[in-house]
Amino acid sequence: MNWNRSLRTIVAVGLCLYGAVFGSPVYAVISGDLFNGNFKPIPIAITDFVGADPAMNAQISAVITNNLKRSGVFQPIDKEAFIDKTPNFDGTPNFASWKAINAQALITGRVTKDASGKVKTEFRLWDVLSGQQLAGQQYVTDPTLWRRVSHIISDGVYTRLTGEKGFFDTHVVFVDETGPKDKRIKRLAIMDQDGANTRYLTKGDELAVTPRFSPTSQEVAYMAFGAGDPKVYILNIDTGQREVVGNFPGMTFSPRFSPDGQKVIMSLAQGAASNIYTMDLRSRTTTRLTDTPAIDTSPSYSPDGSQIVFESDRGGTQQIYVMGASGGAAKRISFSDGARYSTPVWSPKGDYIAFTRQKGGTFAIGIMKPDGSGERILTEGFHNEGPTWAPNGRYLMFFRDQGGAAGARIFMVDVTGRVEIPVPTPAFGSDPAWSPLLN
Amino acid sequence: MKIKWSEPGIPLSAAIHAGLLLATLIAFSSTTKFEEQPESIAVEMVTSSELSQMTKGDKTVKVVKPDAKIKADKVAEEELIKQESADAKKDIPSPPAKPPEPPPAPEQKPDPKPVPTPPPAPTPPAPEPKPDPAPIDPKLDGLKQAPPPKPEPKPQPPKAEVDPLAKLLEQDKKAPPPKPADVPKPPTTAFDPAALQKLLVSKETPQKTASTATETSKSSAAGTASGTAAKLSLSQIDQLKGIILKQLEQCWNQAGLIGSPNALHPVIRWSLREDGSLDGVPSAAEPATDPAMRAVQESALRAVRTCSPFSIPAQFKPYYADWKDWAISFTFKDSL
Repeated sequence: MNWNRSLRTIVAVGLCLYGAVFGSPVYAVISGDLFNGNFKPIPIAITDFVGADPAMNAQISAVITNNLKRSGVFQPIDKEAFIDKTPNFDGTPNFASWKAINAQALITGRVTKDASGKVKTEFRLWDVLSGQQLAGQQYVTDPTLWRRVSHIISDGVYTRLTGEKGFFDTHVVFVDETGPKDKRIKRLAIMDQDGANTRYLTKGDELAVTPRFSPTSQEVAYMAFGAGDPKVYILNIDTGQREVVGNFPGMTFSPRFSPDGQKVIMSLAQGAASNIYTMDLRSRTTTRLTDTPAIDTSPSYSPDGSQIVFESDRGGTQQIYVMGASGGAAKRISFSDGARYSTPVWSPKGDYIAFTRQKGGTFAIGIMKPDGSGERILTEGFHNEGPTWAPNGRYLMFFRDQGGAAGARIFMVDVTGRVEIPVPTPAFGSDPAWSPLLN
Repeated sequence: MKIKWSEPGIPLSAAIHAGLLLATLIAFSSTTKFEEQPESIAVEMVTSSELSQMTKGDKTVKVVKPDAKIKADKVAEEELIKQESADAKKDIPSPPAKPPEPPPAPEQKPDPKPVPTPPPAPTPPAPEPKPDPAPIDPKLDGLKQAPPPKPEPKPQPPKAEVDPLAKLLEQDKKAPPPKPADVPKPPTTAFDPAALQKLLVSKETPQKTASTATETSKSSAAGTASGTAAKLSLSQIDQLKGIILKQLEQCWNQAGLIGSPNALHPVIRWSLREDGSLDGVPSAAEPATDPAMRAVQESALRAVRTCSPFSIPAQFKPYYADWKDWAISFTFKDSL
């Protein structure tokens, strides 16, 4: 039949064409897929910066070395092992001598003072294996800012090799705790993220807790137990001035800033219930977002400001809920059997929500996706609480109270859970809050 | 052909068939091509006694081989390979049938040298059917009293005929060894050394019982895609790939990589020298489109450089051309 014959011809021709087009010549390349690697840190050599002031130069190298090591991404090589201890900053390094000690990356630097008293700090980042310069930068600053320059250089190196924004040039506000356990003095303190440069923001006559950074300005919102009810305050770090946020009857607590810095969101206790409110900082108008007989607290904005995650016991136990930024229906996203979730915080990258989870007597810090999937516990055991995100969304700080006579200590963990290190504070410390990148 | 909508059977069936065919073509257009299979080589079973027959050598050959080799192991000359490549796919012809009886009238070749009196007992043994590359003294055969033929008749000269025998032996040493086809003589004809000598110098191709095995070469065949040169089989390539990927796992530091919501899999290309070290520099097949991809690419490039020189097991070393070039996709999914 004509139909069948022409169909057959079409199919035959089609197959021939297919063969002509897709038939490939024999080519002797072995191809394949590698799915696994390892998580060993990158061996990196950080030479002492050269320049007029050897003490400062060594300090700059030390701060950079410490930063990179603490990130868990780099393994700084012991300086004693260096073959070429003072490479010429302007020349090409002798890569063979760095390969010989298994360095894959190399940082060299120089500090020079100019006539006006300012300091120029320069660095170069080298890929030892390919012999290429990967990054190079110079900064002119006041000599007293050498620490910040070290952090900025650390960020530059970190960003170039991971493709991610840095987090070293940041501050952390926390609650410094001193005194006996039953009479703790709790005051606000601020430090560099590596634990250096600590200074106190409040005097300690009032109990100050839950500090939170403004994303846009040098301000910290916190709760203080003063003469009357506990109140939310905003403190300007630079000037030291503070003001009360709103004048609400009753307790207000767990304040946070909105991503645009224009609003503060918090919870207000009324009788047995707590509900979530926002206050516009300029107009001072307040908006109520939840209206339940339950305890709704610990709210946190998504980075685009369109949603809020908060903690509520409206379902019977403490769980995490997501809601639109102007209120409305809330969707529960935490579901582990027999677990209680609290202190949710949305990542600055928007891809995860960190939380405290209590299950079977242990406390854990974890992350999950905003739809509740992909729950991953980063650290477990002891009394872990209160996560705060680094500005690049790859690290968290939290505090851990090991109980007994000891007090709380602050720790840093990465989103894979592979890196966990203590953050040094002068005394006990709790309730950390991470600032945005300062530069 | 008119389509009757009231009877849609045939056109509908044709349309569905066409649709199915099209769907199959599309669905299967992405299957992997069959990899080229290694060429099959004809093999014939040879017993150890036949093997020793073959290795004995040939009296007619001018050059004495230093050591006996099994024919299949001989290192081929180049022309031989090319010739056989063309014919390789043909069946090896079966060996010519060996005559069980001697030819009824063998050639009577004149003997250049005068031969003394023929032996008194001309009862030559029955013809020797097997190919006998060992030098057989036809004169001795003729001298034998015992009729049954032996595969390797041992010289048993009667003492009375030592002198002519010695002369004959000398002659025979100079003469090329007999061909098996020529060895057997009819029992009735008188022993004629001259005729025999004629037979000995004839250069007929010896018959062999074993087939000519395709001669293998230790070097790869030049130029032909389907040559008979030794190559790595598919499973061997997979094995070597596994070995190399295992080494790369140890070298690929993924700390700090962030990837992206979808997996990143930059393809990295490199070439190796025969000792497993890098030949030239590894390179990414495509330029990176963003910092995250660049970070993964660079970590992969560092991995290849760190792993060099790769450890290649000895059994793969002779097949260098098969593992010289690599293109590996380093798949990174954010490890969360």
